[in-house]
Amino acid sequence: MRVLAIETATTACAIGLGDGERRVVRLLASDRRHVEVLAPGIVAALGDLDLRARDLERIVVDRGPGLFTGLRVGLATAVALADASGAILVGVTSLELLAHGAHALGVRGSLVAVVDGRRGEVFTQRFELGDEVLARGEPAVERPRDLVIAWATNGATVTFVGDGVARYRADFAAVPNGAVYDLGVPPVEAALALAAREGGAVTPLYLREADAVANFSTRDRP
Amino acid sequence: MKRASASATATEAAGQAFADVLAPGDVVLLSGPLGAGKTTFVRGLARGLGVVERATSPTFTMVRQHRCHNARGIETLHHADLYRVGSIDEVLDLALGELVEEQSVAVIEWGEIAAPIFGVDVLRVTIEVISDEARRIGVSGALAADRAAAIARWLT
Repeated sequence: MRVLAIETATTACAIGLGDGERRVVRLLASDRRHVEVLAPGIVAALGDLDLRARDLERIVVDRGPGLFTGLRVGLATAVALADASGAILVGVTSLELLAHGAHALGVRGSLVAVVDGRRGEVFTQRFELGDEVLARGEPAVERPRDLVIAWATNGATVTFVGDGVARYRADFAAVPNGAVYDLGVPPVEAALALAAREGGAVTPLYLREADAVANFSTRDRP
Repeated sequence: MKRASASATATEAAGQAFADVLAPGDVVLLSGPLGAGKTTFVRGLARGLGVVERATSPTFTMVRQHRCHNARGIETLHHADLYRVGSIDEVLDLALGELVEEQSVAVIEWGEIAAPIFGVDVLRVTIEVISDEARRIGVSGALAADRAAAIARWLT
């Protein structure tokens, strides 16, 4: 299966391209230049594997949660390319990519994926890594300190991954029963591996939107 | 934590002094009824941050950027107004929270209507109308605790 994977949920922009035999994985930028590097990066990768856009069968895109400006670029590019090529669009979350990435690198047991949400909050979800990766609970927005206190209190062995861990490293490293695993960018290798999932329309996952909508509908202004 | 203002001039001075509370990356949600002096406060803040041109209400443009000249490391002031925003999607499209990550600050009038979008670490400035001229300007928000010393100086 010929698959393109697009990752723009953090400050980094990465792509993966595979045709079943060959695979290229590229970090195109790590400094929020998504809009500048993504399309040229895809064109170059296709060229390197001697493929054209219309050859793509599946496009896997990280739909968040993460950096809003990055997600917009990644999703718009994925949707446009899927429309033009006829490829099936598959949406995955940044949190599950971190979990699957850690799993592929041999991490087992309880894992908490943590994506930097800016301004004092992180996007997070818990997983159980055994033979398979199982989600435990839904993605949520939390204060890093609350997350750290909850795990330090319950005492269970846990691994933390994601760029949110990098930002609040001292807090997460202080959990005596916790380990910090260095995996900041949701890995496109994991996105390629999830390409066989059921496809369809993909919408961004912002997480803060629901609260904001509630707030918006009760707004008090003349 | 409230500072009294007896006139529009004093509100502008309060805004100017508030520049000393801010650090790069800050988001300020500015609220108060129409005519309370929100734009007046921002005009003062702009001066405090070393903006040369005059700050006007961004009600119809939604976001204005002003180049700053100061020693605080704040190079850009993003001045936004959500009064005319019709949906949360429009707020998201402005991506205000992410504009301010590097060397800039954002002041968002009517920002409280979409507060969860901006995260918890924000400053909230609320202007209360006491009389025709008099106002009371309060500061709160999770970030206020980190800036307690600077806010105390601003209050006096």
